[in-house]
Amino acid sequence: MASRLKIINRERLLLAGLIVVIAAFFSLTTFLAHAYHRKQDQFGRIWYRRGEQALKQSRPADAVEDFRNALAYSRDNDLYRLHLAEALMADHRPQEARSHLLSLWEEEPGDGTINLELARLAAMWGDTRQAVRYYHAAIYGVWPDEPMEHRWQIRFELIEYLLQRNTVQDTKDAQAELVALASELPPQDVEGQTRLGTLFLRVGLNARALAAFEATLAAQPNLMPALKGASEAAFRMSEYQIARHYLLPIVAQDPQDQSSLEMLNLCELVLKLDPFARGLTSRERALRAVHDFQIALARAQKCAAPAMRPATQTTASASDLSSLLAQAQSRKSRISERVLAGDPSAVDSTMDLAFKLEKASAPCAPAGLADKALGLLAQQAEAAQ
Amino acid sequence: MSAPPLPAGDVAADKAAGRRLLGEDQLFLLLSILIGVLAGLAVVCFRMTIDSLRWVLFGSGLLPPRQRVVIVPGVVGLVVAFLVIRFFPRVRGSGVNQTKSALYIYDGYIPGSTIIGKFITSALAIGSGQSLGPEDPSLQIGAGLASLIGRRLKLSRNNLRLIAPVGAAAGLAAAFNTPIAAVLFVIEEVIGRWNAGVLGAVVLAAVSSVVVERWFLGAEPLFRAPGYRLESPGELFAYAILGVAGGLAAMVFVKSIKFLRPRLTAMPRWTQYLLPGIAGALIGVIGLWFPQVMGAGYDYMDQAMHDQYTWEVLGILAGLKILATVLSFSSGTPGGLFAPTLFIGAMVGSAVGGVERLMFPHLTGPLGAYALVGMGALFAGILRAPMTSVFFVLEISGNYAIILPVIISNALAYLISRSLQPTPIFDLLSRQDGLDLPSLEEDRERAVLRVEDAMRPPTPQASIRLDALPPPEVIESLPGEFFLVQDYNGYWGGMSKTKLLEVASDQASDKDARVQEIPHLHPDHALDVAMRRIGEWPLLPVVHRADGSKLVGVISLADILETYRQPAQALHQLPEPAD
Repeated sequence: MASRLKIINRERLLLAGLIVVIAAFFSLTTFLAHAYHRKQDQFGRIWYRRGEQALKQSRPADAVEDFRNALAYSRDNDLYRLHLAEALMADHRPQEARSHLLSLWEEEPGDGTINLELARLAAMWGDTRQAVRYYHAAIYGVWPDEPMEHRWQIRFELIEYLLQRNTVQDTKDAQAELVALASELPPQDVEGQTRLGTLFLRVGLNARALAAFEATLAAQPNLMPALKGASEAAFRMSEYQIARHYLLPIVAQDPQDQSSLEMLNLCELVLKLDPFARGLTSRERALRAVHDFQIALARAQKCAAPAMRPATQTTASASDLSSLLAQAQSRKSRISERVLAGDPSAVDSTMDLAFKLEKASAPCAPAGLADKALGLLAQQAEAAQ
Repeated sequence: MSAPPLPAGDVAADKAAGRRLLGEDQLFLLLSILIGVLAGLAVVCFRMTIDSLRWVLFGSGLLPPRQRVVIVPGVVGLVVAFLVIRFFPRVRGSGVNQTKSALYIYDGYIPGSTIIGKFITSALAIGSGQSLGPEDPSLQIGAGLASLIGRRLKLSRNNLRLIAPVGAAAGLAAAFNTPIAAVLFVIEEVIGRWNAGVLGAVVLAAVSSVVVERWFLGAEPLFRAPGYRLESPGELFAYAILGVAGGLAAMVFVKSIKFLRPRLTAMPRWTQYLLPGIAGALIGVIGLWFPQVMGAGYDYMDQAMHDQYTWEVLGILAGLKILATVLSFSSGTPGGLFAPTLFIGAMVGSAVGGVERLMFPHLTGPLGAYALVGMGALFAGILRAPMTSVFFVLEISGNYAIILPVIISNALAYLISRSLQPTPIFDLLSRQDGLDLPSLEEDRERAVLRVEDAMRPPTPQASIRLDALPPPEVIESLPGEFFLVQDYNGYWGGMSKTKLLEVASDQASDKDARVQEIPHLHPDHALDVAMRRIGEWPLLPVVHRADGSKLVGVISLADILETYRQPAQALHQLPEPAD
């Protein structure tokens, strides 16, 4: 019995002793590990700060080495790795940067910054499919601060990238992105709305462009880019009254702005020459039609003069012009204020002839402001038909 | 090495007498957990010591100051040599082999001084830039701690032998943060057999050590490689090429050690004090231009995985690492071969990936995947642990999708390395050290003799059916004194001639009862099973597995011995000379 107890006690004693040793060793290791990690963190931070400094001073090669050193002390530190990737990109080493970014992406596939950097790399390599994929992941990704602002900016970047590619499909995709962005962007975001309007103008969605600029102008009525954008959009939409409305303050603010001045004059002339404008009396309508016809006829006659004929003018176009002139000469006597005022359909046929004369004269005689205005009215009439 | 006499079977005897607090098996499992914890703590301290030494010796930057690069490894090499020769002569060489020695030669005995010596000298060597890794020493530290505890608790001889590999698994698992690979490696390369008790203990130790390691050093895998995806099935061809390149690199590495190590070991004793210093200085010279080859090199493996080098630089780094590691290891500097193996693999893999990207840019996946697969290929080629190599890559990458390239590449590297360098590196090292440890690879390769190799076709005279007994006079005329007899149920039993004659002349109905039950065999049974079952029986039936009544052969002790004798002549070849 005594011997059995002795053996059990010895075994208990040894196991207890082993556990005590392990506990002591554990405590010692804990102490050492704390000191070790403190040192590691310290080294990591020192190298990281150096890297940031180098990057700020445009020394990306040094920054790469510094961030690598920082990463050696904290291999799972995403911030260090991300900065290393950014430094590599700044040092024109995209392949290396991509590799680090992919590692980060594996860990955080929803991270906005990582997806954005990967999207930029894919865009740089012309891999549109991947670029769009990563841009979208960045748009819908996680952003720790100001997520909406980030998302808008990235969508802008994606749109710019798609437009820069200049293919039909990419332009269509850009239009879809713009529409999505317009629904997200708050109207009071002056800068964003202006940028949005400009991009809408680029893709030809003029009405949406005008709406974006008008949203901007509601917040800042005298913002020059928005005024210019709105006038441009309205002009393209043949809304000359609205265009004039936005051009007037532009010219008032900057009388030296020749293009705006010319556009304003053109708008005013269109408004003045348009026989189809609302609210005109029959007489006013007839007067305008007669005036327009005379402008067109004068240009055509000038063009038909042998000295004015350009060498490039084809026989066919010359004969067109001659037959139109003949037609105009034969109808000239019947195109008067009195006749047209009494016959509204004659206004239409007169304007039709005037537009044809303008079109046929286009190759030989330079267009004056009035001719341009008539051209715009012709386009408007064509679009209305 | 000499071990003190062991109190064989103390615990077993105590258990038999019912005097133990815990049964031997329970105690063994409990100890496995405690050993795992202790080994994990030791490995954590070991790694922290290596890093701290590196900071002290080279500063905190990855690129060490140039003036220190040559001086530090050389001077510290001299210190290490002094410590090894004067105080810790047993820490030289491979920890894997020393653990195997403990298992197969020294009854599980690893001296306590080896643990301390391995810790100090390896930390100094690796921290000062010698091209060696911390995993092998970690493995040996784990094994040493296990042996120490086993001896204190007076485990039985058998368990004391097994406890060292259990500690080795714990040490390796903590060093790599790869519990499955560590368990497989120890089973595949150290113990060489699977059974529930050993596997349970090894798994418990590995898991507990990894838990401790992760507690202190974090749960992140060893490498953070970019995600892998197979760009096209054709890319597998590139991985096959990587397997071939890995096999060739492994062959060069092993043959270089085979050539240099015995020559340096054979040099006069006083030169042994200088060799690690000279090796360190030479590595320092290489480090002036390529500091990546110094130390374990994990940070640079990470860089290679992230496309930081061109394929030309990667190729140069692989070559220089082979040179540096051969110098360090052959000079007798303590440290392991695992990390250099992985480094060479990562560089070879990334280089092959880089070339492929150059030629087929649209077919190439991320370079990190090539680096990982390259690590696996070199692991399979140099360390000759094919199963471990596959699981190792999966564990360090945490990516199962990479399995196909890994299997292809590892298998090719393994086969090429084995055909060009038949002796595995651990066997080579043990033979160079004058130890005749069992080669587990050779064991795996050895043809297993089966019953079908030894059995004879059944003769009508030796196989008699009870329902069609010949007349007694015919039985009388049959040769032999023992017959295989099939009873009425179709089962085969045995009967002596006298009994058979009695049954043949008797009209009684209990004939079945007189047939003696005897063990039976199947053709695919190992001959060892036949040897165990045959006992005193002159003849055993070999029956079909799907139909026990169908006799396909008979076997006798003479047949078994004759078969053992034949392949013994063919298989008993002399081991490859170790220079």
